Formats: sequence, C-alpha cells, structure tokens
Amino acid sequence: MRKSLVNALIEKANDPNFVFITGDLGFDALEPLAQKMGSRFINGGVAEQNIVSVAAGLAREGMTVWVYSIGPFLFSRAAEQIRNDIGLNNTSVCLVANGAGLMYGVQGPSHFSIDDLGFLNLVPNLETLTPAFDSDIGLIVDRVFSGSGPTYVRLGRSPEQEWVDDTSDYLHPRKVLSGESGLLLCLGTTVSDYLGALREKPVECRPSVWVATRVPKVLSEITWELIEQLSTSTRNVVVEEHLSPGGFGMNLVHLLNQDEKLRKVKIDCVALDPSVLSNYGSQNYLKASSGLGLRSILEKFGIRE
Amino acid sequence: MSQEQEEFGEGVLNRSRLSEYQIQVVRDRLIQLHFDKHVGHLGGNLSSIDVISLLLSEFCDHPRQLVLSKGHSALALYVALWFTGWISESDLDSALNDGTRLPGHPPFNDLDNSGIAFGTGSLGHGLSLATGMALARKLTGDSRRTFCIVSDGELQEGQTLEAFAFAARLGLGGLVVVVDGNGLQGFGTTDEVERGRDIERLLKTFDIELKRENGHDLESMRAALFPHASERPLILWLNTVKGNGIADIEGKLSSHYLPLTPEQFNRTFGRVR
Repeated sequence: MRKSLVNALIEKANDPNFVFITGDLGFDALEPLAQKMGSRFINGGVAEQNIVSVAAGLAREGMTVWVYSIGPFLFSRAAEQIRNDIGLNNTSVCLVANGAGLMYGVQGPSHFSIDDLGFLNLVPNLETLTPAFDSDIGLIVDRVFSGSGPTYVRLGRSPEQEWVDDTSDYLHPRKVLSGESGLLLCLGTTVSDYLGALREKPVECRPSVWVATRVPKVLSEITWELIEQLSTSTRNVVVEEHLSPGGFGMNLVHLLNQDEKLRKVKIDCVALDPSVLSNYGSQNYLKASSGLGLRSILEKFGIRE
Repeated sequence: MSQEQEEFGEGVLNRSRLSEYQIQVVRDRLIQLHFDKHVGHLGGNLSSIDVISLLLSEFCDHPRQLVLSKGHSALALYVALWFTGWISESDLDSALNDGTRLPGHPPFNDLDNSGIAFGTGSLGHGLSLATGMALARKLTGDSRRTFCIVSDGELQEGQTLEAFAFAARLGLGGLVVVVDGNGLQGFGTTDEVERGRDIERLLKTFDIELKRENGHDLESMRAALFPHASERPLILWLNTVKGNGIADIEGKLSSHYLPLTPEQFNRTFGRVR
C-alpha cells in the first residue's frame, strides 16, 4: 500500500505546511515523494523517539506532519512519545506504520504489528485506521489534511484486486459481498484473503462479507445495518491480524455487551495466537497456524475450499 | 509589576527589563507558593526560576516559545507567567488545587488557551518538541526563537542526544537549549551518576554553539542570550544552585522532594528579604 500512499501524498506535496519525516526507511517507495517535497521531506535517521516528538512540535506550530517507519519501531519504540506528545498534547500528527499484522513474515516478531491496536486505542485523541483497499488510502490522506487530528495508519499489503467500487464510507464497516449463510467481518486487508474464494460460491451458501478499518470505541461507530445483521445471522465470525487482547473482536463484543438487547449476539472471534511470536515463517504460514487461513475460515461456514 | 489579567491565558506577555528587585519578588512568590501548597521540587524550581523569568520577560513574544522540558519546575513557569501578566493572581493561587488548570507538571489540555507550549513531565521529550517548533519556524520564515529548558540529569535520556544531532544537522539556529546545571538529580549528584561520561565533550561533537554562564546572574545570561544570526543551535549551560536562596536546602538532594517546613520557611524569609 506504500505506493498508493506515496501517490496520494504527492498530490499534497506543494502544501507549504506539509512535512514528511521518515525514520530512515522507505527504499524503493518514498523516493518520488522526497523528490517532490524537497527540504520538507526529512530523513530523521534511526531515532524514532526523536522524530515522533519533533513531529508533535511541528504540528503544534500548525504543520501537517507525517511520520513513517515500520510499525513497532513507532508504536513500541516511541510509545511514550505517542502517548504524551501526540495523544495527551493532541497534536495533529499522522503516524504511518508499514507492515500491518504479520506482513513482515519470516523477518520475525520484532517487525510485527500485532499488538499495536491494543495499546494505541488507549491513547487519548488518537484514531487508528487499518485500510482495507488501496482506494481507502487517498480518502485517509484527505481526512488527515482536513485536520482530523492525531492518526495512526496501519499499512498492509495491497490486495490483488480492489473488490469494491465505492469506498466513500470507509470509516464504518462496509458490506463488500452479499451472502445468506452467516456473516464474516474482517479488519483491513485480511478480507482479501477470503473474498476471491467466497465470490465463487453460491450466494445462499456463503456468508455476507464485511470489512472495517477501525476498532470501534463506541457503538455508533458500527452501522445499524451491521448490528441488525449480526443480531439475525446464524453465524458471525470476526477475523483480525492482531492478538486478541485489545483487538477488534474484543472491542466489538464489549460494545455489544453494553446494550441489553445485543448481549445475545454471538461472535466467534478469530485472532492471532501468541505462538506467532516464537514460530517463524511466512505471513500466510503464520496466519494459517492461528486459524486465519482460508480453509479454516471457510470451514466455519461449512464451506469446503 | 504587570497588570493582572481577568481571564487565564488571554493576556499578553508584558515584556520589560527584569531588575534584581523584581527577580527577588518572583523568587519569594515561588517559595511562598511552594510552602502554601506543601509540595516538593522546590530545589529545581529555584535553580531555574531566574532564567525562566528572564526568558519570558525579555526574550519571548509568547509563552509558547518556551518549552519546559524539566516539567517538575512547573511552579517556576507559572510564577513567571504570573509575573509577566499572562495568568492572574487567582489562577496562580489555584495551582495544584483540585480541578486546577495548573497541575504539578505543565498541563496537557487546553494548550491553545493556556499559552503553554506543551504538557511535559517525563524527561527527555521537550528538546525534541522544541526542535520541531524551531523547524516549523524555520520552514515558515518565522524569525522568533524557540527556547527549551532541560535539566542536566535529563541529558542522560538518549532522546536528547537524538534531538541535538537532528537540530544541528538541520541548522536550527533559532533553537536555544538552556541547561539547568544544578548538579543534583533524583537520587545522587550528576557527577556520580555520569561517572565515565564527559557531557561537555559529548555535546561539542555536535555542530552546536555551547556557552557556560552563571544561572543566577541576570546580566551574564542576558548577554549570552543576545540574538545573533547563526545556523547553529545554542546550548546555554547554566551553573545553578539547587534550592538557590534557601540556606537550609541549598545544594541538598532532599530539595528535590521535600516541601519546606514552617521553621525553614520562617528562617528563609528572615534572610531572603
């Protein structure tokens, strides 16, 4: 998704208040942006704590600031800087974390963003976004430049197909495939692992497929259409490339539990198993080991691959 | 004395040349406030109150130009803001009370109204924050300088070295880093904790101008802070005394934590005045 981000940011490159800081990463992706932005594109070096706080300082003076690195080098290395300087001080910085979930695969858990949402959704004022499709990226860029406030964007691998025509309401869960046998709700690009196979199945045999870009913090962030479908569906499965604690599924269940009428909604939450932290392999291998593989998800709806 | 403002943070920063008499008024008010609130951190407040007052009185157009990275000296900042007319007497009196807008470390909320640059409290952040502000001013052609007050112990935070390197590389001549060099930190002297590290030599490896002055001598600080065109950030290392002006606590580690006793307070005002 980096190239989509760069293309969208190049459209903003002439904004004199736009500053982009990278933590010495972005080879073969950020060069066109660097060329367009000149001195407002800064390689801040391997010093993530500093660049996060510098970004907060720039934002306090009215600049629109983007900071780029691999996920944990931002949310984990610079955790206190994000909490205090961006969250508590409410500075309009956009953090771009490359490598949502297990994207770095065999490079190992130092590079995984599988516990980021659990921490970042507790940071005051910060909005976390996990785009599902490349077409979401331009909308997110527009949102940040309109002054939406502190933001964390979790970039995954671009899906092979866009799958959707209209992404305008990307902030709310969207239905991307109709189905009559249950409901599958995914966070971010994970949805594309299943869409191809499910589209080939008859509508009466497959679940409806939904995708979300953010972990809901209040019930109103979930559409009533989705809530209604969750209430009436025979089987609800939520999938995320994140550890369970603090993740999408846990937050959704918690919110539904707050409402007496929605407590009866049953949700099967499929999240990563902590064993991915000590088990090495590709992204697909690790996802399959946690039950996120295509076969496992299809089986939950009684479908054979 | 500046005219008090009716509303918090809606004043203007009244600039005037700070006299020796006025700085004594400010110090006395700080001691009184600490005593009334029965709180610690007085030592580091007294070592930095002189330069904070000088910066706000003579070198800043707006309090936002000053980042207090050593946030535990918040009361010194509040008293200096009161002295310069930015906050009212009643606001100052409300400091540390339940529901106050002036807590024990600079507040995070309501920044635009309070005029305070940043909420701080965890050491090591402020220099990077000030560096970002100085960079923004450089990029937008704003000639105003950005001041940051750090403690000497705070320079043990690795992030401060990251910030020095960043500021030097980008030629942020509008950044002035004031080090409150009182030589005492949370659990020992800075020399003890830093044995094996020559901080001055380390700082000189960056393309930064370094000056040392007496942090309780207004005239020498004033001369060192006089602006001149440069692309090099300035470090003004101030030799200061923790607990300055109170014989009972001067240069003592306990001044980092303990509030004044009534006996110490009475002895102080017998002598200070």
